[in-house]
Amino acid sequence: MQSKGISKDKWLAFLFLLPSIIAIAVFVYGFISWTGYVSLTNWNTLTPDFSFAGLRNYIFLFNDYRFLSGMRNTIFFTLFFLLGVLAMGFFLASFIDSNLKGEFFFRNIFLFPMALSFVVTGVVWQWLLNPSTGVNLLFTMLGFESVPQWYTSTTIAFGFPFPLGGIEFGIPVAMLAVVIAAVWQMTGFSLAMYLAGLRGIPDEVKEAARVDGASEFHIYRKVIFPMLMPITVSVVIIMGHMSLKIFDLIYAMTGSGPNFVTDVPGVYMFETTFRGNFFAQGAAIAIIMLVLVAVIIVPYLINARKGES
Amino acid sequence: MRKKAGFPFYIFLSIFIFITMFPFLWVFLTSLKPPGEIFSSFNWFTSNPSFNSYVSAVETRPLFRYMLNSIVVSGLTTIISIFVASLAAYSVTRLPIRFKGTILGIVLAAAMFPQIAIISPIFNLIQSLGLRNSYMGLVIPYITISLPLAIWILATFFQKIPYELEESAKLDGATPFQTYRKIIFPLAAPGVFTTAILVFIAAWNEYLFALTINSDDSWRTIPVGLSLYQSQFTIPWGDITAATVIVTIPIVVIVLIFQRRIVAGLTSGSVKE
Repeated sequence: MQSKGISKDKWLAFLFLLPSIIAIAVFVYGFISWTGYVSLTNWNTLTPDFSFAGLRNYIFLFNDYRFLSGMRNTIFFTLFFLLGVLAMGFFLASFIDSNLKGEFFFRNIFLFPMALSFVVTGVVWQWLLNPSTGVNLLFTMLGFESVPQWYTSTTIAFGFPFPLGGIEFGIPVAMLAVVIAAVWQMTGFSLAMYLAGLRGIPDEVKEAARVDGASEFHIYRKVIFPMLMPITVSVVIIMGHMSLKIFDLIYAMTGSGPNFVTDVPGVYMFETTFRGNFFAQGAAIAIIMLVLVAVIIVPYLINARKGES
Repeated sequence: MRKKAGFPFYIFLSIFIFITMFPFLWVFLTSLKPPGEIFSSFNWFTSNPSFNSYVSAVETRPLFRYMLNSIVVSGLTTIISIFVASLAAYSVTRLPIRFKGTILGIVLAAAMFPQIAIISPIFNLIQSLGLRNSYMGLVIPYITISLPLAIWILATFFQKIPYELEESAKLDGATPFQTYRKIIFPLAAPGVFTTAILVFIAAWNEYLFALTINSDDSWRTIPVGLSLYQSQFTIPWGDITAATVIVTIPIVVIVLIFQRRIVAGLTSGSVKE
């Protein structure tokens, strides 16, 4: 009787899971495999062509000016975006946590931009950072002689010639305008995470350190930062994987920009596949993006699972 | 205890709040300006406020049709994926099943992989099914991309429900389905609701699939419609700011009403309480 009941439960568990498993297996993992397969073919025309191309599409990309520019832009975008989100989020969170009663109110104000779509953010900031109509009008009114070119700047700061694809490797200044928009939208997330984390640190811990004569700086360095480490890791993983696969914000705000200074692999993939019908080429770009994201998230997920068991 | 704020603190915080709110504020103020005043020089307020930009925004593009499309697509996506995902989350968290952790890990990874990696096959599938420029053409991909996230968030909420309640229901002879319907679902309702809001907002904001699959103007959703006001040669900022205000209001309302739930959902799973 007992064992029959358990096996019935097992069947039900299986039955409940089945629709989701099928959907995710086919539409996510199945289609990813399909994209991987297409990336190894010659399907670079409107009509499908599944003849085997080996790694030709990938080799092409690693000598391709546009793709390498996009990779460079993604690296620096991710770097500055993460720095911005972590610093702003932590700063505002510790500020609100230690000084204020109405923390929910303030947290929600900063969280607000997050609910908007990247397209709205892109459209709004495209306008705010437009060299001739946006905040530059304010700068001009305040008497500044030269105003920033924002996302139309073609400067590559600290640039040097890259051995592949003829690109210049360095910090694409135009990308910093996109970073501003992205940090504006996403700071609320790290703020909410840090605020939850700070409230999880008992006051006694800080008090004990203070009684022992530790300075505020020491308390942060030895007590608060280490205790917030898991949250920092989560924010880095979640925000980092997001910025590696970014598409909407760039496509709505700047497009690929002059000389591809604001291009990213996502935009390149979309245009080469759906505007140029280079399906295999697009698939190769998508697979490279997937691998980049997987390198970040898979170890994190495996690690998180170990922590649970 | 130490929660007392000084005067400099409020000044400082006000500056940050102003910076955060500045884009909203300026978009709103600009939408009320006559076109000639938008570009000339910097001024906060116009002396001749008008709704001309709003009229023009609605006349040049079918903005209300976009909103209707977004509501239908996001609504259908939310209902279907919450139903399917809650069954799966219940199964993974409460029923005797092996490899729970592995299943959840594979599900969460699916939520994080770039959608760029599945867009071409989905586009080809939807096209061969003849579902381009229809609601189902977007609902099908949206369900697949929202399922993994919904399962994950729901599972973290379901895990918090005490097992004792279920045990006693089982002793009283309830079937797992009854237990789910009578015990788990009502207790998990706040979590389910939170997940539903997050799925709805995600579907509402989705851009890549909407841009690729529904290319006919009468089937476009809001993000795509909004991005199309500008042409290659002109950017009608008056129309764009007015349209932005119109399409942002529903999200503002949702966030204001459900703010606490949204925060709970966003930080769930990544912050131990």
